[in-house]
Amino acid sequence: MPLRMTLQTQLVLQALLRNPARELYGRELAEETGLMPGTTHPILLRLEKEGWVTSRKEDIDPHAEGRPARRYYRFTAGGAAQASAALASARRPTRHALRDLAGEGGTA
Amino acid sequence: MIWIKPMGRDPMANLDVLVVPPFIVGFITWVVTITTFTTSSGDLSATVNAAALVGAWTGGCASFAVIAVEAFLWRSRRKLAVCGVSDGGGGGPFETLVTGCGLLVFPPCFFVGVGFLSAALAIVQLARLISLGVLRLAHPQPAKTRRADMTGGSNKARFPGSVYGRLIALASKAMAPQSRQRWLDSIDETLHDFEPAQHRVLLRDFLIHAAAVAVHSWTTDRRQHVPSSDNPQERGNDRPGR
Repeated sequence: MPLRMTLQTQLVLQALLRNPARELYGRELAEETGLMPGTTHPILLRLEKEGWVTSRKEDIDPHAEGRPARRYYRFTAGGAAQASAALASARRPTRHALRDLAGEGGTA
Repeated sequence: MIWIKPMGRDPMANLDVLVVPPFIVGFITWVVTITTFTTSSGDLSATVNAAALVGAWTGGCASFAVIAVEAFLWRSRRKLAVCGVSDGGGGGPFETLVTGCGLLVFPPCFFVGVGFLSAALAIVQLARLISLGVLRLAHPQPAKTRRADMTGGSNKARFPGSVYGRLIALASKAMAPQSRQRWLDSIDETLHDFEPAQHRVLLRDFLIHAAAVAVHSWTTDRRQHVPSSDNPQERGNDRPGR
């Protein structure tokens, strides 16, 4: 089944595509997309299931660092190309829709 | 007996202590009452009934006392965190059913003269449920502490308010284990990274999308499952694109 390209999914893909080699974690993704982590989480799961995105959990000692380990996301080898193609063929969100999304899911 | 099963670290775990002494007290009272009434009135039937009632209520009061002492000791040991929605409960609705049945059989058992047994058990059970309910209302479980301990995460990551903690715990139960752990880890990470003032909104957002995560978790093929945070071998593995 093809990946459903919702506006939120497009925002997540666009955020990751800005620098495909860069790894982003929850807060960075939230800031890049304007969506809350609770919204991006299932999207990232779907992208991972499709093989477009991969993730790794930060290898730290949470007690020593004083914070929980972050999970970093980035595109797989072919993921960026697939995402670009999918975004190109997807209906581009209107500015109005993006503004609404930012209003609903705006965070920090 | 169903209600004498161990219940984790719940203060009601020592059910030997909770059930046996009230029974002994109730039984002694029953014997004393039945002996007294029989020697004074000579009406055995009325005596048995009266003794059953007295025995039952004495047993019930004794159980209240034991529960109160147990709760006090438990509170003083600062173990409130373990009494909560996740693992503190025993049979839940089943126990309530047992209690209800106990209360229903109370009158007939009472009139045949063996009401003490069922009535005392029912009252003990009722007392236990009431006490637990009051305790939990008075001291809601800080679910965040359990989460932090479970994940090894920072104690700074807290769920604001017990309601959200309970809802998160409830929602996570609907997910497959792999995704559940990861979802909870994501919540921990988020709560640490964002200001406390935003936590309620963030948790609400996680709850709104919990259904999507649950559906995804169960529909994902095991061979393509999302890497668990607990399995280092699975970390960082790229999956081939389709």
